[in-house]
Amino acid sequence: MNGEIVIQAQGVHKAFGELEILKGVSLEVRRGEVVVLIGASGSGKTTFIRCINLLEDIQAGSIRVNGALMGYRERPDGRLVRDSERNIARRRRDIGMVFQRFNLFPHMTALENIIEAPIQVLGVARDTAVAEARALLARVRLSEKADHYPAQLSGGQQQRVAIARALAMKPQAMLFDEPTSALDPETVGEVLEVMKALAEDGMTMVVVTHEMGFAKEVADRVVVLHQGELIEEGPPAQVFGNPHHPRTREFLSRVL
Amino acid sequence: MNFNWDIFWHYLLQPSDIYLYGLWLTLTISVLAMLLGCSLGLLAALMRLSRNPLLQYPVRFYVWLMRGTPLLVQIVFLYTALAAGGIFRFEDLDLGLFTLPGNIQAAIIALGLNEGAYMAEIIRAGIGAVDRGQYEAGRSLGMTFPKLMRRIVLPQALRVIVPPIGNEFNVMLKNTTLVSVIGVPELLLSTQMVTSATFRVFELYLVVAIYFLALTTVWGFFQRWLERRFGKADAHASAPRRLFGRHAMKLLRGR
Repeated sequence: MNGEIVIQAQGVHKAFGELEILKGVSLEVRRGEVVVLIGASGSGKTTFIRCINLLEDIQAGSIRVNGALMGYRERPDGRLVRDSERNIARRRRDIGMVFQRFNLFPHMTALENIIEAPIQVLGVARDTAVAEARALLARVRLSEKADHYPAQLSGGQQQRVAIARALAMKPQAMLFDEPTSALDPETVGEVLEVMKALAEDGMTMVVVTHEMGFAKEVADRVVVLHQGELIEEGPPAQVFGNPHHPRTREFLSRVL
Repeated sequence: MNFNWDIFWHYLLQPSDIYLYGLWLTLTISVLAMLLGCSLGLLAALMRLSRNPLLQYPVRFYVWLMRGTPLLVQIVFLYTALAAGGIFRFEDLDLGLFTLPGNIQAAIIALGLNEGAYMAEIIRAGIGAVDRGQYEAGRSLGMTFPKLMRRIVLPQALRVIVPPIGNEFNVMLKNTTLVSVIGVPELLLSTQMVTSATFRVFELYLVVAIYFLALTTVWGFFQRWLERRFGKADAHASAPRRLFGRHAMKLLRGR
């Protein structure tokens, strides 16, 4: 992979009070790359991707998307000042996020969920937004569910609508926070398939998951976090076949 | 027993103009005070949810004050005490088509201010009942706070807010009788005026009680329709409602 860098995290520190969750994590993600984060629960992988689009603020380090700092503005003299809420909201448009618990808007149909942000945030005309949303629903193979409310959909269907909703913003990169962890086993496959197709279409993706099969098959690079530190990264064949770090070996022996 | 059925039926079925005017005032004051209360309550709830102490603490003080003093005292204080102290006097307001008397203005504002404090807590609870994930989803899609509130959070909070708002309006209808003390000729004061001329106290107070029962009953039907409407497409009941059931929740709210 030698595309341009889309996401660049440098020395990211995050603490909740006394508890240090991330102890200086650095990661670069290039355009079109699929990076899968693995690690035991509590290793900080979910917190890390939530930091990327500023759902969590960080105590030290920096996160850049397309070269521009997230959450801060650089003064001409090099000092950093906290960015306004408005600018932060604007920067978030570039990054789609898919949540473990879907977080679809329950008072809107699948279609309305998808067109909401393009119309309200990007100012896209309703007709255009609806046409694009229908195309996205077809892409996640849910065309016939356009007028269903989230409560009427299965977990796997809700998660696919959530993916379509994030894609509707035409993001530069997509973050997946354990997208299949809340699903019934029989619907996990349909979500992973959609994600795989997305990866094949060249979407830049950072995925936190426990699905090692997906990591092996789809990831360009696997990153292992342990207690808030990045302990190993490399192509899946290497990380799964010949892990260097003893903690990685320990973790993999438990989950594989 | 001193009870005259003729007088009772007469006032119940053929109310005099003074009565009808009282009824009209009761309704108008209730609706306007409720609208004022809802607006103040929404504003106060949003301020209360802010992390900024400059926004949060005035609201805490307001709610504490309004809930800690009797409504009757608040009404008299606003209209009579402030004027007596030479601080502020409600003057009649000439609105072209009609004149809005000072005491009616004071009545609407006092009831609205009081209602606002209760509404603030109700709206705050409604907003608090919306899942955190909804905020995160909205934010991750690039929504700013006002948009997030308007499009995502408040529509969902409304389902939790509407049932208690119904109860609040029921209380409001009855609380309007309190403004009779500052001379607003609503239903109760109209009744008092008629009784002082006819001395038929028993019959007329029975009539006024029936009038209020009729008002709150009609409102009750409307409230049930409202709750059905806003409950639509809502597969998940709120957590406390699931726990205790709808009617128990009504009792627990206690008003």
